[in-house]
Amino acid sequence: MNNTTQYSRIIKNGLWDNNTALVQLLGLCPLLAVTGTLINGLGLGLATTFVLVGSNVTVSMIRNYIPKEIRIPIFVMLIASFVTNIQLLMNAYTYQLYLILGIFIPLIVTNCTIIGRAEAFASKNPPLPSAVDGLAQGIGFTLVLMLLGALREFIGQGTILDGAHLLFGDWAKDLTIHFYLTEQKFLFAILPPGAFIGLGLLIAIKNSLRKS
Amino acid sequence: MSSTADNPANKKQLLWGKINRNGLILALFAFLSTGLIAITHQLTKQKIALAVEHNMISQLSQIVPQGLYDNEVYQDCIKIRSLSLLGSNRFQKAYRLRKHRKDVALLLTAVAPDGYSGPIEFSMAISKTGQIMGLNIISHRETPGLGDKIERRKGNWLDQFNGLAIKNKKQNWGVKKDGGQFDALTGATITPRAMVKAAYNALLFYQQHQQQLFTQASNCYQKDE
Repeated sequence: MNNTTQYSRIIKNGLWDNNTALVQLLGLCPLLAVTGTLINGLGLGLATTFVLVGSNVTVSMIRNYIPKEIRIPIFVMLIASFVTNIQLLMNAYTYQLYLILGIFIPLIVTNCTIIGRAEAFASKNPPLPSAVDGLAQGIGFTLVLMLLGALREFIGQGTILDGAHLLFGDWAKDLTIHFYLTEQKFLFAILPPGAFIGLGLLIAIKNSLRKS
Repeated sequence: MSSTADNPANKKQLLWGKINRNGLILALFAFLSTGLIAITHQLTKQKIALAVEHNMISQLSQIVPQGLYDNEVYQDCIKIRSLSLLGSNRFQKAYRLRKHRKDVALLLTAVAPDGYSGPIEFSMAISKTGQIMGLNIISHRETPGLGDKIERRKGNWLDQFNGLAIKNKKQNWGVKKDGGQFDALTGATITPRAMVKAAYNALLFYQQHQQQLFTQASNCYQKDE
């Protein structure tokens, strides 16, 4: 298989065919927890993508040195230490960003996508394809997070892009679009049950697209 | 050859060899990854403390008008500690705000130990007369979208504390659900409950040590004994 087709397949896999959230159904815990708004979804997505690329590359580099029987505990240790180190470094050197994304970082450890990709892809492939795989899976995950976030935000509180200034700075305050004003928020969409149903609908839509 | 491999004793030996080797490799990775975290922690510890302090003081203007004090807040600082009232075994800091050498207010850090997912660190400005001037969250791990609404940049929940003093009836210091005067947050009751309790305790600490808090010599940047 030549290189270009290999990479385009990896990318297509991550974004659509084998999408983390819609097909593999991995990483549901953080997905359901934070997709109350589009911006929260984007925040978690970015942090996850970053960790996914890093852990994929690391696992891929040491894949030939670890015995098969104990690979899983080793991956777990690597990922945990990777995430903790990122958290510390962000806290020290990019404090403002840490204040925004920091809250998502402990959630990443609970995301089985990371170990899923380490096991399914990075432990069998060289570093570069593994990095591409991490990136593609991460972006695929992020897109679903954003879509679900937008959906719940729209139904729940009648806005899109609420809180954009938390991620992009004060200029983004005007990005928020108000569709309708609610006296009372539609709690059902904002709380986890709304996330379950929203995700179910997205999966159903994807499945029907694949069949036709 | 096959007869030696089939020999149960040999098989056992082979197995033990493998277990030993894998155990060693596992231990090595555990050592490496823990070591890496320990090193990063050591290297970033001071930098983080500095960033946190810097950020807290730069946010001071959100709760105390800058014209009210004219001293170097960073320098005018003492270490305080109280497990029962400040929520942590670790040293907290109290910064004195003064104008023309007269005491105006105190900015202290404290911890709400019983947040929904761990302790919530916050800073609180108290006027000389014992009224809350304002609160800011320093760090927390509350659920995004629910408990994190206590943050100032995500809402004005914290403003409910402004102007309160210890002499306000004790029963008012609670969320409405518990018969107090504080609004809870949609989908999060534990977080506001923890914050109200911690703010009350911090105010109590101020009440009990008021004199000493303003007169004690600055000691924040001396080494811990």
